[in-house]
Amino acid sequence: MGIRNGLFSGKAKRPIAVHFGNDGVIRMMRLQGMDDQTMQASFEVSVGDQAGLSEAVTCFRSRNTVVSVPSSQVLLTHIRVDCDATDDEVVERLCRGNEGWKNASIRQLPIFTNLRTGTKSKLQQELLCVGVPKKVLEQCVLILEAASLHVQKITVPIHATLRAFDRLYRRESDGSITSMVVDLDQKQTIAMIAHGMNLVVASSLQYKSDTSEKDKWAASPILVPAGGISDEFERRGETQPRGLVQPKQKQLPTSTREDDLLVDELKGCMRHHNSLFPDRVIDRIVFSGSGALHTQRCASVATKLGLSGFIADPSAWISGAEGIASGPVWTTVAGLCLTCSGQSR
Amino acid sequence: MLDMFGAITMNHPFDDFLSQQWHDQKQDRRVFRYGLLLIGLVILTTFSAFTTTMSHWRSVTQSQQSVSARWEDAQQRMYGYVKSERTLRRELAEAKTLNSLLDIVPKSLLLSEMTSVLPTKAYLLSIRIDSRTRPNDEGVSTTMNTIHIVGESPNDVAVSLYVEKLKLSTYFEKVALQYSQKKQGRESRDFAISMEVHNKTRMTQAESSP
Repeated sequence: MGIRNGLFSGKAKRPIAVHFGNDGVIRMMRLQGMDDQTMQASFEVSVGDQAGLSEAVTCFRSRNTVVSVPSSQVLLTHIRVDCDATDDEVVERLCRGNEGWKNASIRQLPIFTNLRTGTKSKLQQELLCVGVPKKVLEQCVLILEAASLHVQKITVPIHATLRAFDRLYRRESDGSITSMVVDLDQKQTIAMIAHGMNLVVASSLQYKSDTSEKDKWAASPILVPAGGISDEFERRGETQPRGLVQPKQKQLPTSTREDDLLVDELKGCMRHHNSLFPDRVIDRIVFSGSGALHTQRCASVATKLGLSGFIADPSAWISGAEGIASGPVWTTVAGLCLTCSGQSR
Repeated sequence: MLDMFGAITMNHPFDDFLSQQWHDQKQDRRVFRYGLLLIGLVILTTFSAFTTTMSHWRSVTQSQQSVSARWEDAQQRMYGYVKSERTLRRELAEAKTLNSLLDIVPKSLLLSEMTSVLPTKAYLLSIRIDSRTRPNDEGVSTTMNTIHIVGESPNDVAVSLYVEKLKLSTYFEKVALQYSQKKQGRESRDFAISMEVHNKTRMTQAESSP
């Protein structure tokens, strides 16, 4: 290990952020330098188009990649186990509910410790467990290595998406803001609740976004970019947070059965959060993913939940991304990019 | 803590779903590839160094052959030179000896000249000849022979007569009486005379010598 670390500890280039979308599109983006938030290049390539991927790769000045797997392939659950539970016990508990966890690479995040359900019961902890099937990891690595890319990390969209908003929580007091981020997709919808930049609740929802009626991003007249001038730093209270766009409602939101299902599921997440953290109130809801392009629906959901609703647009922090790689669809990729630069934390 | 991109980050459990074993294997493969590359580089460098050395060695061998021929030639010439130098030295020694002989007027002649004019009852106690070689104004070295004689005479008249006669001699010049003093308890007198051998005499002697 010593030799390896010694040999390869030189200053590396900023890697390419690659996100395998549920829509069968691989989105790639790379920023210029470690301290430069300017986009070097971004591409969208269909999964399976190996020639297109190889051609796109030549436009980047790095071969190192950080990858985000499709959210539909991610296993996600909250469990309560004893505080002294071993990793094997946790895996066993997970496999009881779903055999898919057996062949998955599992990571666990302690959400709440020292829980006691009864007077004589043992101390328990709540874990957020995330797993990615090893086959999916292998497939991602094979696809990228076939295009002469070097995979450095593989993460999950729930982590990468949240990292896109880390710049909203640079001040110490920003940690008190509780946000719900909803990644809407035609295959998978994931709801995340974060205290500041720390993820506390994540849940896979049954709801599947219908993107056939989505609004056209950037050309839509119902969207107001937050902050106005792109160089202007956000001032909470005076204007909306930079990187978030608030949908304007031209008419009363039309409620559909699917929307009600989404609202119900989101309310369930909020209840789960409130049971764990009764003193924290959710301040806002942020929509990302391709489903967030349906701004009317997002506005409707936010209104029904009684929260301030925003559409993610992390291109506000990346110069050169406006119009090319902007909008909620690029949230995960931008989050990966900003994580790699060390600017997101 | 520095992550693999050189950025300062905290480790988050969801940062990476690839196992440490996978990273280790990947790094091992890279180390292996770099090792192979290094070995290839070393072999290539060694081969090119060997080729360069061989070509240099060939040129050195050619130079050695050329130098060897020249060395033999120089050695022969050196032998001739040493031989010539020895002959020259011998000749020079002979010439020096001859020259030293040419510089000196035969002592028998000088002694004859000094004793032939010696007054009656006077006799010589000692004769000493000093030779000194000095460069003259023209840079040519000339040898000066100075004769010091000490003798005993019955009186001053005889001494004076002897000095006068020496002055008249063609062999001597700059004849000077050094002292003439009466001996203790006796009538006779001790005297000392210094004089130089005449240059012309020497030249005449040199010209007349074979």
